[in-house]
Amino acid sequence: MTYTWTDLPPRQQPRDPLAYFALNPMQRFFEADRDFANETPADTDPVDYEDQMWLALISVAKRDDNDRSWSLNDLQNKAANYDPPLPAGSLIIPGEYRHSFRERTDLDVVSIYAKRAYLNAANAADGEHRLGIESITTCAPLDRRSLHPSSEPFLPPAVTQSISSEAVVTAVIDHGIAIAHDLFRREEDGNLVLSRVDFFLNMDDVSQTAGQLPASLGRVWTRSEIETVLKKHLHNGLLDEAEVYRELGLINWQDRPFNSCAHRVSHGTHVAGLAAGYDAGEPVGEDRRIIAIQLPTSVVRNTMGYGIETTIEKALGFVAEHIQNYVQDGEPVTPPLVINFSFGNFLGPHDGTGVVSRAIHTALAEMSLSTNQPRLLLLPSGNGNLSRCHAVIELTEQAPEKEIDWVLQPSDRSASVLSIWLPLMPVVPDAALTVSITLPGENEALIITVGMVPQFTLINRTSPDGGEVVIGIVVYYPPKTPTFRGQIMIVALPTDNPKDVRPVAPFGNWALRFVKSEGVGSLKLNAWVQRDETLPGFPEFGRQSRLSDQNYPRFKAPGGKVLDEDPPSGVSLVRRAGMINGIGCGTLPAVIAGYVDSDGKMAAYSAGGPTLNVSRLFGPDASAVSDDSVALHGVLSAGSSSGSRVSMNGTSVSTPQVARWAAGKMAASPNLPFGRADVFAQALADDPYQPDKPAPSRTGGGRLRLPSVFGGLR
Amino acid sequence: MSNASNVAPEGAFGAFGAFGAFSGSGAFGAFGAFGAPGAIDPPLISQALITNHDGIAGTWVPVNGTSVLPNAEETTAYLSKLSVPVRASIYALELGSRIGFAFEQPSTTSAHNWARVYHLETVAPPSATTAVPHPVPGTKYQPLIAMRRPTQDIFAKQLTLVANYADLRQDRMAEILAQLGTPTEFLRAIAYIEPARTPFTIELLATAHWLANFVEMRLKYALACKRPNEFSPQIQPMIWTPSHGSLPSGHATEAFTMARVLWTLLRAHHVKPYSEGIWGEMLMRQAARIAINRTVAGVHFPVDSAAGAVLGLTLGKYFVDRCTQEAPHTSWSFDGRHYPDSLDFDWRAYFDPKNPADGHDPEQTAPPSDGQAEPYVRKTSIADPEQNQIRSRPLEWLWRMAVAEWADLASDTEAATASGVGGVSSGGASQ
Repeated sequence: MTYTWTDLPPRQQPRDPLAYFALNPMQRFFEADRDFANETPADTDPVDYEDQMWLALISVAKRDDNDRSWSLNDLQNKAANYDPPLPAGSLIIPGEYRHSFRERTDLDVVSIYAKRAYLNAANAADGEHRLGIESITTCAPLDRRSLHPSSEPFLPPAVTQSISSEAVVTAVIDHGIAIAHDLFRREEDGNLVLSRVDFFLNMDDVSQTAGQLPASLGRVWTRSEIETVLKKHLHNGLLDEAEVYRELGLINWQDRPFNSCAHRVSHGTHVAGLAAGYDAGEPVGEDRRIIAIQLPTSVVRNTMGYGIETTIEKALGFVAEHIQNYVQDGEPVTPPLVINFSFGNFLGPHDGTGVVSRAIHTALAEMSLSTNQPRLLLLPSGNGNLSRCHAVIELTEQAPEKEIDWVLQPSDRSASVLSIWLPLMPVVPDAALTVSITLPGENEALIITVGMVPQFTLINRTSPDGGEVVIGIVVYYPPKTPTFRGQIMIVALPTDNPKDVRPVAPFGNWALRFVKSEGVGSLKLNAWVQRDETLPGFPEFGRQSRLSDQNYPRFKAPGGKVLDEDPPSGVSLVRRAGMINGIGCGTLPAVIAGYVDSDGKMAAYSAGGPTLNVSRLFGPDASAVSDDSVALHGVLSAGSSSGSRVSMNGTSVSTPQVARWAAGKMAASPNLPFGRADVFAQALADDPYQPDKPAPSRTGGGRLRLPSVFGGLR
Repeated sequence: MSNASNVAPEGAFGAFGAFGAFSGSGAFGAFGAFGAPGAIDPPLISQALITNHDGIAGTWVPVNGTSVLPNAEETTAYLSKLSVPVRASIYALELGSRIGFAFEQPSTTSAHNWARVYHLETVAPPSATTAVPHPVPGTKYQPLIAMRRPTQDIFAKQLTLVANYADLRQDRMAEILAQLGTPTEFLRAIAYIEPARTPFTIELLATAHWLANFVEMRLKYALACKRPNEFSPQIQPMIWTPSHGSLPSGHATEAFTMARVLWTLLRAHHVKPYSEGIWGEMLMRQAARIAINRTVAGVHFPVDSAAGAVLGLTLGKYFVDRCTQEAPHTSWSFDGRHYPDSLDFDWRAYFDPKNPADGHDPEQTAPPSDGQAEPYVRKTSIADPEQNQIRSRPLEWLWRMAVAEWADLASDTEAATASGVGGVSSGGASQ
């Protein structure tokens, strides 16, 4: 037998399998990537894995004695008193959390920076009790140079921006935002040296104290600092953009092998152009202010588990802080705010109870509480409609057995994750379900027995050097708060390592067989494969694993068109329906799908519901144009260089068009609430019922008829 | 020029050959003939001309020596009757014969290992006498540019930049492949160069290109710097790595030489709007883009581009000096050993276009030294330049012909009048 399985006894079971996997079995993959990529030249920042700092989204545990949570100060004390002592600097509380926040005992999800030793201790079976952390979401080590070394709280920001009563702030959280594009600039004395970006957080930048405002990760650039940079690098009427982005830390060829803003097309620039790009001569641009957040490249490029999403709490926190730093006629005001986050993934419970969804919910709810102004977060519904990453496995008394394959691709340098959720049931009868897992080329299966007992199994393979290598894990968690659904998770190493010849995960079909016990009643399982495809524009990295069922029809006929809806009579377990963005299932954000302008059909990739959140059963709230036509893919918006327009498609580009429209609505009625329901209502009004209107699960309320932002150029 | 299999262009000095490849017509095409025999006679025509001669020439009629006047000697009027490739050979001697080169052999003294390029000042020889039947010109070598290569440690640090720049290969592939040919293709996208409209401008740029290549290849040979793919197997350049050394970058040298020559040419008549700084800005951006694309491709270190830019800007000015009878009066040096090891290439450190339209002349610059470090670029005045140097009439003629192509056709000729009208001023716009 090629593989051996080791069941961990309860006391040795890590509590979050993805965090465990990222921190431990993935070590040699991170090391290989970093050495190869020259991200950290060996002599200035040695790749000592133990010294790497990780951004972790944690949910704080409740105190042992009551229903209050531990405070951040408690967490620090617990870390300091841990026995055996943790390495120095193991835990950094972001300086953005001020003294008062650090005393709060109503915490749910917060962000920390920590070393592996701390995170492993917190993730251990006794970690909740000993370090006060209920759950951990983390993905990849940060570039240490971008991290502020101190846990000390920062002084409150002393920079304010003056605005008019018409102003609306659009916050763009993205990667590769060329903020000096002329669509984000205004004119002064004939030169475009004024910026509409009031606050820019570049999480990629080297941490430094030179700026007006401190940041725990990267650097904050205020409007006046940006304008100083623009003026410095304007020569003969032309902006030397290479110089500007070098100074703003967005292009750094010395330290980074991937510099999005140096590319012709950059995701964040395109998205920001649609959300808030205005020609310098357009008067309305004056009152469309921008807060921009560049996410860290090292985290964005890693497609294992939750990557980008771990940054969302920090990003929303930045927005929440700086939306309060506006003045009008010298008086503090909080202008209306629309936030665009054009990212997503496939994983999660899809009911709004996931850690990322909760972080978003808390941030939005607190922002709304603190002011009476409209606040709206827009998320894309995702592009995974055809990705074959979702299956619905219904086990009944008549058909208590089902089989499905999970297909891992060769040369996948990112870990693959499959998560299978039980239905909502707080108590699962013992042995209600057994799941057998057979690896490619193997005969013997690993059996998971589902009940109220957790299981944590390592899949080992003997290395040529004689050592045992963990190539994957299979985990079962009984239901727990707040999701109350049991979860089976399988995590596999990449199927390729550019450097290390020890075993990797086998590519091919991982055969899964589900058998329900008699008398348990029907069980409807939902399986999702995590998105791990290389992001557009990034170097080859992850390759998408998927679910395979021979009954899944991809085309209407052999050689025919792609089927983008599940056939009504379909018997396949693999579904298009329900591929909606895993972090787009919460109650507050507006979620936007994409359609093709020329024929009015939903874009084939545009993912839809249903979700398992009763407040969002359909899935998306509305759809907007994501492709101009079948031939002209995508929509036009800003390329990285000033003056350039490029096309990009996906729900990433339909979403910011809605953000732009919403900003207009908010400007018109700045004191009226404006939220997700208003987006849905407008979609219904724009797209009244008619027989060929796409299903609500794909289009939400309907297809928004928004004016094309830059489409006139096509 | 390509090698025999036509698959490995040796730098942008495919130029002379590649001129033909990019355009089948006009002067661009004509340059394709450089170095090759003149137009090839089709056998059919030659056969016909033989029988034709037999058929009609009739009886031989002798000719008297006084019946044909001799051509004037050493006259530029002759140049306009010559084919472009023939003229190219003449320019080559005019330029090449005034360039000197020496390399200080390795020594334990750190001050050595300099490759030095000289300008040869010549003054007219005295008339021949019985005592001196073969008088020679008076000569004196003056420094033009000196270059010393970086250390292996610096190259090793620079290699990280090369590795990271590979990120842009997909984006830049079309440009990188097109730029295997002459920079003229990219400069002509900025200035209104067109074979029928500006044949002499194309010829002038090709001649400047020749000079750049002539000098840079000798420097590359002397400095013998290894290419990025000799340092690491992971660079994997996306094009052939040329056989010659890495520093200075030939593409950078040629592109900056030509960009500087072209902007000076455009401004010779003070025609609007070419004196606006944005024209120089754009030409230099273009040259820098060409240079950086070679790093993206994986065949050059950024320091190669820096050395190439300093060399190219120096040669651009020198070339215009030779064409306009100015005595070269400035020399430059590039000391690779003092190049900051992680420094990327930024053209603005070496040239400031300023805004000539406002009376601020463009300036070749040395990057500011941070106080502690030894500067790696230095400017030195040439001591006592010879003011009565032999003028190169052919180069002067070429410059004049090219300048005439940029005379304004605007009815308001006030600006042109101010500078001497006529379209044939020798155009000494400052650079």
